[in-house]
Amino acid sequence: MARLFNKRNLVIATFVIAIVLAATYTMFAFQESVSHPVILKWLGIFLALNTLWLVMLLREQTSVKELQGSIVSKNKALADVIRELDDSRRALLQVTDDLQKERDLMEEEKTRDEAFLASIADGVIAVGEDGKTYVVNRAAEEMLGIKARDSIHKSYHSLFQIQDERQRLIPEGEHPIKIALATRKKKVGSYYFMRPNGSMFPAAFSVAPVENRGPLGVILVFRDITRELEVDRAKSEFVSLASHQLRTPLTITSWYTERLLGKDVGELKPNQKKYLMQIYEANRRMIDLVNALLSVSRIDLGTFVIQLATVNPELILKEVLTEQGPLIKSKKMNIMKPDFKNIPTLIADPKIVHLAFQNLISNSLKYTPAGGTITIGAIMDKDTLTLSVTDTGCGIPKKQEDKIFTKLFRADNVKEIEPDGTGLGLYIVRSALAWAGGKVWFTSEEGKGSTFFFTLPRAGVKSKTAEKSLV
Amino acid sequence: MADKKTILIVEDEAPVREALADEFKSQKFEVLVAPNGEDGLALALQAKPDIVLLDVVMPKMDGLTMLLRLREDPKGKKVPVIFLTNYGETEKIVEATKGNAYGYLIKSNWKISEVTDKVKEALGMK
Repeated sequence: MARLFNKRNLVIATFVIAIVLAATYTMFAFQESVSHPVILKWLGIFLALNTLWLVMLLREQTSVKELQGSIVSKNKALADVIRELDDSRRALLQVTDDLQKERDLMEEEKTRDEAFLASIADGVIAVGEDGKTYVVNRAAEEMLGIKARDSIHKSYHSLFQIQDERQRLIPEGEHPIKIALATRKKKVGSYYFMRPNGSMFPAAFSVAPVENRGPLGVILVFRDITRELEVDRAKSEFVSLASHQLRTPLTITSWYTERLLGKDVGELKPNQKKYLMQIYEANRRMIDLVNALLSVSRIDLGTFVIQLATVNPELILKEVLTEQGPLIKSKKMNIMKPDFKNIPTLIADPKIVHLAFQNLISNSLKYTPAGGTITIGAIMDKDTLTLSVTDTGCGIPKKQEDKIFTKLFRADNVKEIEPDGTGLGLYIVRSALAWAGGKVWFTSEEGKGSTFFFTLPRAGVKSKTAEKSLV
Repeated sequence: MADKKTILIVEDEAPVREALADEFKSQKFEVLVAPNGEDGLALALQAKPDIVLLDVVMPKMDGLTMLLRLREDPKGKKVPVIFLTNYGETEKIVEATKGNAYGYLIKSNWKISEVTDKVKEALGMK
């Protein structure tokens, strides 16, 4: 019903009625049978109603059009938004897709890196700035006898402990990882790494700081050097055995030459005596070389004993100067000795003190021109006895200073003066003193002379049990 | 002149043994020699030398064993013994010298005249 009485139908209805009324009026006006003013009145009413409905209909249609226009524009805007959203959705899907690809790529790279890390034959342990492990590779697991899954995010110190070659447990403060974390500097060396079950293996290691826009921690790389040590040991044992075997023939040559030079077996002609002296001296040099090689092999094998006794440095110096007496005399050297009045005796291995004095004084004698001066010094402070040997000799070339204690090294300038040196003396002195808790160092100026200092702990040297003496 | 001192040299290397024997003879010693510990022990107990120079590494019986056997016998309890060696096994020698031997010396590091000096010192002749 409501649809029947809408504005459009009313306009049509009133218009139709007005037409009917107008037609009726026209027909009656020709016939003049009916009072036409009434028809005219109703015609007027219906025309007015028709106009009213028409106006209303037009107004309504206008507002509907406006509304339609608005709706159309809003629809358009909505369509734009939807299109934009769709574009965004596509873009988002694209980004998601790219991210997935990126993630897959990263996953692949991570897997590959892990495979590489796991396949490294050396042990690798990464430690964060907090001292906790975050990478333990397969080789590290195997060598240390630990499981990576139980070892990650643990303090590196709780995983394994380390010892030096003298079986001293390295304290936390001296741990190379701790030092590398604190100093941000690479540290290399070798220690014995201890497994949780108490067994251990010798390892060469490097600890290097890791940085990426700031410190991330350090990475420890280590390698089992048992095999290398065995080879080294075999080499030292061979040197030791060969040297022992050499000693008997050298003794025989030495003793028979000595007997020939003595008067028991008859007088020798001057030339015979001279030649025998050459044989005797050459033999003596060979004995010294064998002794030096034996000392080196014992140091390298760690098989020499430290036998403690009360050491009087003045007496040992006297012994060494007596031994070197002939050379001191022939080169007319001035020997300046210190006042030992305030130097007390101390507990040490007299052989080591003798060895240090003997090597340093013999070097000074060899490398100082005739008529030069050798000054011995002795200072006792709170903790340390420092002994020194100063000469007016050829000195050490600046560029070779760092190699002077290296095994078999000889500085260029001394090779010209004394071609026969072994390059073992200072190595032996430094190693023997290190075992005795002392050290050796020098100051030198090429062409003017050198001073070598060596120390021994005032508290006394610790004894060391082994089979062999340091010659 | 004092009585001649008798020295027993136990050493397996013949040239070393002979050099020492000649040197001690020229120093007016009565010299006995043995090439190994077994013979050395028998000679030491039988001839009762004033001093024994004893090599360490020898066939049949080494010097350390010979010293222990010698000390086990009342006839060999007091004779001074000086070890001669070219090996550096000083720990064992030092252990053996504690109350048992007068000392030890490395042959190649000593002049033969220094060996006779050391023997004379042990015998209180210097």
